[in-house]
Amino acid sequence: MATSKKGSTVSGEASHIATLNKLIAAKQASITPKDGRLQLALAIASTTNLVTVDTTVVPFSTIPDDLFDRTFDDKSVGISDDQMPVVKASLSVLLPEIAGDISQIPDNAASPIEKVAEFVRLSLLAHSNAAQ
Amino acid sequence: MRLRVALALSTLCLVMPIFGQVQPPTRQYQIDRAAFSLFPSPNFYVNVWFTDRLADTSTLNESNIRVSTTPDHPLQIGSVSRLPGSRKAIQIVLSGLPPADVTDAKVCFHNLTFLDAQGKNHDASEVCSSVTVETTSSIASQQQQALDDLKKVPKTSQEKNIFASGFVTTASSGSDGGADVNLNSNDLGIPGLTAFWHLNKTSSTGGDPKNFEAGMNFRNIVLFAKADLQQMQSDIALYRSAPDPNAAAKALAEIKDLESKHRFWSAALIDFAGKLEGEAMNFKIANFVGDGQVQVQSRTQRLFGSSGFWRLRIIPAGVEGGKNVNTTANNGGTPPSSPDFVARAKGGGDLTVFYENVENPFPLKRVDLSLGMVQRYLFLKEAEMTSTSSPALAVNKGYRPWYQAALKVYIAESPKGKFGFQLTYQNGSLPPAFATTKTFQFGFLYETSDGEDKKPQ
Repeated sequence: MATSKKGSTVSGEASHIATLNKLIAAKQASITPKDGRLQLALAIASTTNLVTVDTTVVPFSTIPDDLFDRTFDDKSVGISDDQMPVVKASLSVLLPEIAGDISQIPDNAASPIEKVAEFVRLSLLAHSNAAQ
Repeated sequence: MRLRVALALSTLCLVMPIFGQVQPPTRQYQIDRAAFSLFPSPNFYVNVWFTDRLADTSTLNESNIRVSTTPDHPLQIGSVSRLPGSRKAIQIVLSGLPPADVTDAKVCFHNLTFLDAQGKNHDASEVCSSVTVETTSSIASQQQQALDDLKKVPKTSQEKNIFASGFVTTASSGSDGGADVNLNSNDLGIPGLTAFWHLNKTSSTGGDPKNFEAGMNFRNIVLFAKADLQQMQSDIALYRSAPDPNAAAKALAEIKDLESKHRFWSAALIDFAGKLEGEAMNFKIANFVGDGQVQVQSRTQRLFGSSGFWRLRIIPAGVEGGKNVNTTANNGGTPPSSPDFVARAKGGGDLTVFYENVENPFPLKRVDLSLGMVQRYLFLKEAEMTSTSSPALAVNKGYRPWYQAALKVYIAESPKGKFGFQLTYQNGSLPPAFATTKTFQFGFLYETSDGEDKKPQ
């Protein structure tokens, strides 16, 4: 009886751990890296109606689909130097933890969006590093 | 004679770039750069940026990719996908714990298919590159390097906005050259603070606003969609911590709803500036002025389907106040009632319209139109100059409008670039001289295919 009871306990623990591992793996797969990419796309879309962001698909999609391969002043994005502070202010609302870093981004609409995304990604990593 | 010389130089500068341009060698169908984020999940991944667009995602599978490290660690690839919003970049998410002792890393793709600018496939095999390793000890310097790279991006032609030579001014009394320079810098280390230097000066009678301004401006932004953005922020946090898929989907759907609002106005820009206004370039009239204004900026709006856009900015209210520091006539005398203090109210706005359609059968491949105006009212007497060859200096108060329009039209396109012309019209007067100005400018334009404006010298 005792052996049986012990055996079922061991078996129950093994299945419990396996289930937990599955849940952890599923959660890891569902969580994309926290790189600020979605927030940057949303900040751009809140400045220009030429850009849209669809968050109902994972990962999110944008119009134009190569938004990050373009510059802010690209004809498909339509952001001028004067509007760059608006993009930065919107991004600061979405990523308040790195607002100080965002304010250092030059107001240059000729900047490639991917370069700004890269700076935001590294700022978030540096911030998470400092917070630990 | 001056007109002929300017036009000849313009023609020369149109031709020179076509024959004299030397393109640097470009890398193609390779890895541009790659970064290995050695942070705990979900930040344990390798990002890879390619030199060209990827044709499809069929090669983005685990068996086609090898990530190796020094010292060697077995790495398990969790998922591979394109980075959202890019056709040139992918992300390889790794599972498990990041090794702490990695000094070097390399990523290889056994087979890849790239797309060229014409949409043609190009196969490449064994595409490999070293990877920048990002760790807790290196991340701060890598962040600074990314910021330095951003600061090195050349300014747009709009920002440069220098056509100090090469435009021809045609006013009532002849033709001549001039300068319209706008320089701004936000590298002052204080968020929102910029230094500016503006010059609008020609040597032609009747076409010279004699405007010079230099100073510092502090800008504050009031977002009209701030509540929506805050809600998006909390929805993103909710999505990342959602206990079940339904809650995650609900959060994402709400973000989409908020994003789809497509408001017309985006923000109010509130500026406070301190500046020196001078009669360019002799400062015979000069004021120290404090300037406060509110500008309301629209979002960029679509024009004619996908062929262009337009945006609007209005200045509903602004004030300028300060002290006159010098008012001297050209003959060295001072006017009978010399100005003392400066008090002005102003309003205005500008409209930008952009259209581009290279398929257009008419000679209208691209149009850039910019219209602007400022309406000033002077409560106290200030200098006012006539547009005659020997300008008479008077002191008056009242209404001082300023209108300007700039039109760039590109009529033809070659593989090397676009060709067109620019028309500029200015009418009214600007501080501090308030010299009556009515000018029409014409110039040829050539823009290389990489987007850099070349103005005839």
